[in-house]
Order: sequence, then C-alpha cells, then structure tokens
Amino acid sequence: MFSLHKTLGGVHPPQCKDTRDCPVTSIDPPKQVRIPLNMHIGAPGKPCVNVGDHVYIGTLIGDGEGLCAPTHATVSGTVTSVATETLPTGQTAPVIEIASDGKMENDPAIVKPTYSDKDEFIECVRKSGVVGLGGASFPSWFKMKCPPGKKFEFLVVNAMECEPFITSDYRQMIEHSERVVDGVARIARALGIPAAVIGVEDNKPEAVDKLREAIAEKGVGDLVEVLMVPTRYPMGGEKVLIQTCTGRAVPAGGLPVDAGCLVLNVTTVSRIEEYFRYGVPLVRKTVTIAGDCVANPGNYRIPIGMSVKDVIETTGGLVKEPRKIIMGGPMMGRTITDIDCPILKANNAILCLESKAILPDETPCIRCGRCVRVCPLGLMPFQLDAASRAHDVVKLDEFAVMNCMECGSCAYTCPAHRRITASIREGKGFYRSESARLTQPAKEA
Amino acid sequence: MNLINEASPHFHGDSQTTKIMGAVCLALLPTLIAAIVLYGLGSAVVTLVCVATALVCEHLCCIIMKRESTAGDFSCVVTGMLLAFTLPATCPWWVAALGTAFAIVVVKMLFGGIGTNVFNPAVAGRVFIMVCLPSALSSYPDVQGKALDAITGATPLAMNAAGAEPYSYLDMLLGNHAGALGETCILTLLLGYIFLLAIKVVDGWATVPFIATVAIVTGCAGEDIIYQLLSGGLALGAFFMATDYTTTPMTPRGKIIFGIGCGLITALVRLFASAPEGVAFSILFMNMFVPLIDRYTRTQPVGGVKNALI
Repeated sequence: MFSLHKTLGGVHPPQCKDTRDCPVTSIDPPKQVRIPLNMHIGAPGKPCVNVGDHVYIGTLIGDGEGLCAPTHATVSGTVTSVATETLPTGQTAPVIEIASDGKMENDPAIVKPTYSDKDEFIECVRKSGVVGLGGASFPSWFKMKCPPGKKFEFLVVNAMECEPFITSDYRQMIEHSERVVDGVARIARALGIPAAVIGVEDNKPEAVDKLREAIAEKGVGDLVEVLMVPTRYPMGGEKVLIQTCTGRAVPAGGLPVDAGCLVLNVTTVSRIEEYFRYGVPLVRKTVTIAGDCVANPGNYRIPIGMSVKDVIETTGGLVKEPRKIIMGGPMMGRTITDIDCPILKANNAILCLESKAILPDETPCIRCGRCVRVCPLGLMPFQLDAASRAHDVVKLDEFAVMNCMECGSCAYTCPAHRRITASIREGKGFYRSESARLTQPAKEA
Repeated sequence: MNLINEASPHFHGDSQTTKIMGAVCLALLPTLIAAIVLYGLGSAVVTLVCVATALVCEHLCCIIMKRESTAGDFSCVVTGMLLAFTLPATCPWWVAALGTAFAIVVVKMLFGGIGTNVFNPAVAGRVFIMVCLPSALSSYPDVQGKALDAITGATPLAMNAAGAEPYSYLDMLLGNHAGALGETCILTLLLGYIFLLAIKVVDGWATVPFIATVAIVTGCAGEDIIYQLLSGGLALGAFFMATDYTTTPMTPRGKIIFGIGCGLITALVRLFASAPEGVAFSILFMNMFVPLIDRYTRTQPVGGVKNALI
C-alpha cells in the first residue's frame, strides 16, 4: 500500500561505505566506563547508585520523571564515582563511573518483560532505556504516547542510513532481519497501528531482500512492507522520510504525529525487540569505526560509556594522526576534541579523518541558487544565512528558519564554501530567544 | 592530538566559484577564436585589454575596500570577456579600458562586489560606452577576406531596418558578416552554452523564454523569425548574460518571468525603437526588477510556515 512520493532537493555525497561487509564484532571489555545520565533529549536522570555499590550489566543506575529515559550499567563491577560534570556538548549532567570486574555478568534480576495492553507496553519500552538510536536520542517510549485527539496511521521505520561511512544500521538489517521484522510487527500491533513501512535506500538491495524474506517467513506481509527509495541524502531526515513514504508533509512546528506517523530508526526497533525477547536493556551499541586514519575499520559492538580513546585503541589504533574525529556521519555528526569522552546511546559512528574533512575558506555568496535547489524542505538557505549573520529576527521568521533540520545539503553544495548550515543553526538559537522575548507581553517597569 | 572543532557538515562537494567562472571563460573561448578568425587580431587585443583592465580594477578596488582580493576568482575575467564581445574589433583600446573600468568599479564593486551587484557589469559597461562614447560603436568592421582592411559593414539588424536582407542563414549562423566581435558567430556561442548546460553551470529557465518571446513577438509582427534569432546580441545575451547568477532571479519561476521580460523588451525595441538592437537595454531593465521578482517567486517551505512575528 506504500508507494514512492516525490521530495525536493537533496545531494549525493560520496558514500564511503567501505565497512558494509564488516560483520559486527565484539571487542575486549573496557576496564572502566563513564556513563552520563543525559544520553537522551529531555531531563537528565538522577543517579540511583552510590560509590562502592556493586552493579551488573543491566542494573539501573539512573532514572527520572517526565521526558527522560533510564540508564543502565554496561559492565559488571563497582561504582567508583558519581559526580555532576560539564560534558563536551556543554550540558551538565551526573556521570557515573564504573570500574569493571572483568566478568561482564548480566544482572541476575533481569526477567523477560510481559505486557497486556498499550500502556504496559510503553512502560516496558521506557524500562528498556531505548532512545532514538539514529542519532536523535529522543526517548522512544515518549514518542509512542499518542497525544489525545491524534492517531498513528503509519509506523515508518527509518532504515535509510543516508549518511556517508555509516553501516551499523545496514549490518543490523543483514544480521538480524527477522528481529527487525518481529520488532516492527510487535510495535505496530501493541500500539494499534494498521500499517508499517520500512524505508531502505536502493544502495542496500541485500538488506531489502533479507527483510522481505523475513516478512514472508513470519507471514506479516499484510502489516509490514519494505519500500525501496532512491539513494539521495537526506532521505533519512524524518520529514523527508515521511514525505517519501506517505506523501504527507509534517506541518511547520509540528511533530510526525501531526502527519499521522510514528517514526523509529531500524536499530531502535531491533533493540526494543531484543529487550522484549531477553529482557536485557540497552547497554551496548553497534558503532561503525571508519575514516582514513583507522587501522581496522569495521562495525563493533561497544559497551556504552567506554571512552573513544579506549575504543580506538582496542580496535587496533590509528595509522596516522587524525585532524578531525567525528561522532556520527560527516554531514550531521559532531566533532570532538577530547577523546576521553564516552560513547553514548545514540552514537552510531566514530570517524577519524585526516584530509577529507578540511574545508576551504568562505568566499562571498554568488547567488547561484544551488542551496535553494538542494534544500529538501523548500527553504531559501542563502537568505537564512544572510539573516542569521545580520541577526535579523524578522527575516528569519519570514523565511521559516525553524523549518530547517540542519541536514547540511546547502553548505555541502555551496561553491563559495559558506558555512550556511552552521550559520542557520546559530540563527535558530537567536530566533528562539529573540522571538520569545518579542512575543512576550511587555513587563511592567 | 590537535583536533579541529567545527560545525557540520564536514564534507563538501566539488563545486567552487573559481571553477564555475573558469568554466564560463572556457565556454566563451571558441567564440573568441571565431572572432579572431572573422575580424582579425584586433578581436584578441580588445578582449585582452578588457580582461586586463577588469583584473587590475577589481584587485585595486579590493585593496581600497580593505577586503580579500576576489580578482582571482575569474568572475571579472568573465565580465571583461563579455564586454569585449559586445564591442567592434576596431574599438580603440582606451574606450574598451574605460568601459571595463566603469563596469568593474562603478557597476560591480561600488555595489558590494561579486554577488551583490544589481546590474550585469558587462552589459552596463557596454551601455556606458554606447551613451558616453557613441562614436566608438558607430561602425563595425566587416569580416576579413571581404576586404583586406577593416572596412565598415552594415550589421544585419541595421540592414533589416533599412529594408534589405543580404545575408544567408548560414552566414548568420557562422557570423560571416559585420558586427560586434563576439556576437556574430552563433554556432560557437551555442556550443559554449551547451557545454555550460551539460556541466550544469547554467540552466535554460531564462534563456528559453527569452528567445521564445523574441521569436513569437517578432513573428507576430511579420518579421523573419530565424533572421531575428540569429542577428544582433540575442544569442550572447540570452546564453551568457541572462544566465548570470547575481543579476537574475533565483528560482525557475522567477527566471521565466525575467526571460519573458527580456524577450518582450528586445522585440519591442527591434520593432519600434530608433535603436536597431535592444538586448542590452532589456537585460539592464529586467535586472532592476530582480529583487521584486525574487520576492514574489520564493520557494514554498515544505509543511508551510509558522510565523511567530509577522
């Protein structure tokens, strides 16, 4: 019932997916992990262990109220420190340090979860600690709570993996296709969603075949469908994905549910299904390690909280000194300068790059219109860039700055190498504070 | 480890201002060669003078304006070449230099330099010469071979206005007649334009409506359409000047409006005005409306706009 719908713009960055045939392998467990309690969008969790406590893999170490996701220990051992720290992202949150006892024992209290209705199901998802693993890190359970008066008509599973280098979702589909399909069917049934679609780019035909085989095997063809879409960045952007698969546009300022959609990443679905099968919450993450500086590029199963430094060393180290280390893909990932920082729940790649990531200097805009042509959301990036730099809040409003999802297509294609995306990102921050100030009723003096 | 901290995206495609402008220069090269063949080395001298003046003026302006020099990005080379192409091969060197200096200093740099000028510098430079030094443009040399010395010939449009039609379509296509040095050889101009289309530096959103409008309007007035399309500066203007990034609208819809406007004015000037050619005027005239056209032909954001302030 799903068919391909047209979307605007997009670019074709080099794919660099050399690690696609590298099976996911486990690595030697780390001696120590440092786990921040804010690995999700929303309020950071509160620690529920103390220094000296013994923990197992899967023991709850932090949780909170409202928009929050629980955090679990990822190695067995002893809590050595519970302290509030400022993280490289600029946020402040409690960080729990655990020294491993080397046994890597699962918590004996782990049981397979059961549920009988929608609310219990969502509570189970909450307890799994799963957040948006494609990089957004929004607590999955919170997404599943449909606001009153609205309805999920489609479950859209994001398996596009449109960023260069990253192949961790691809490996998930190849190695655990039946788990993915089971997960999709389980979530759709539990939440009463009548139709589910898994969107995959056509550069991954093997994944499409595997998923279709699994769907036929499980006999869920009337519920779950695979849609192969043209390979084009940013197909995996939530709004673009929804438009491609359903033809609907998420209204400005709205959420996917306003277009009747629940969107989950394919690895998120797989992890949720894993939790329902075995009861082990989210404690490990498959991460693609790649880039021209890495000795052994590949896909590795890494305990959350292990430091980037340990990960690089354990997987064989570097062959040359990188100029940039990127957490995530090269289009939307974040650079880090401190390699002691931990792997987070939503990290799906570590890229160590020497030459490729050095960008030339900015030159003046020549109004060529390339940014307008490639914008997947029909915006005018060059106008937003100029308005952001001029701190012109009215212009930012006029040109719909908040619609921007920062996919980076405009800056990627700009012949003047202007940092359009970075400038718009700053413009969004400025707009947020300034429009709040301007629309507030004037305070009495 | 000395790691760079930078905002995404960390990849960049291979597009580059210098490459784009260089490609335009390359696209103009066959026409320059044709001009040398047709009108002699004078074509090369005029072009060289224009390009050199453009480079020097842009560099000096950047120094005075205390900004990084943009002379190296080939955009002023494009301006110099285009301006030279609208001049006769016998144009005095100082006229060519003065026109170019006006184009770069007044029309381009005083309006903020690359990307911010309102008028097409090459076209404005040509009109400047036409208005201030009309004697330099009063006569066009005929092609070599027809006469050993540069003897003044009548341009096709001038002859058309006089009621004669002496040139064959083939001569018109090859530029085998009197005219500005880079305007007459339609074949090489078309070749250059197709090259730019193929490498996606330009599109046809303004060019096609421009040419189509001229054809329709002059055709309705009973003129020979093919003769109209092959004469004057239409090819040069529609292929290389109505496709300029800075001085034309941003979106396809805007470009179509721009092209139709240019075509309409060109045709009306050709049919009714005292001047034989209207391409330059039409482009300058439509340049003025670009901000307005841009305003009303914006792209529509997917999912609409949620304005908080307006």
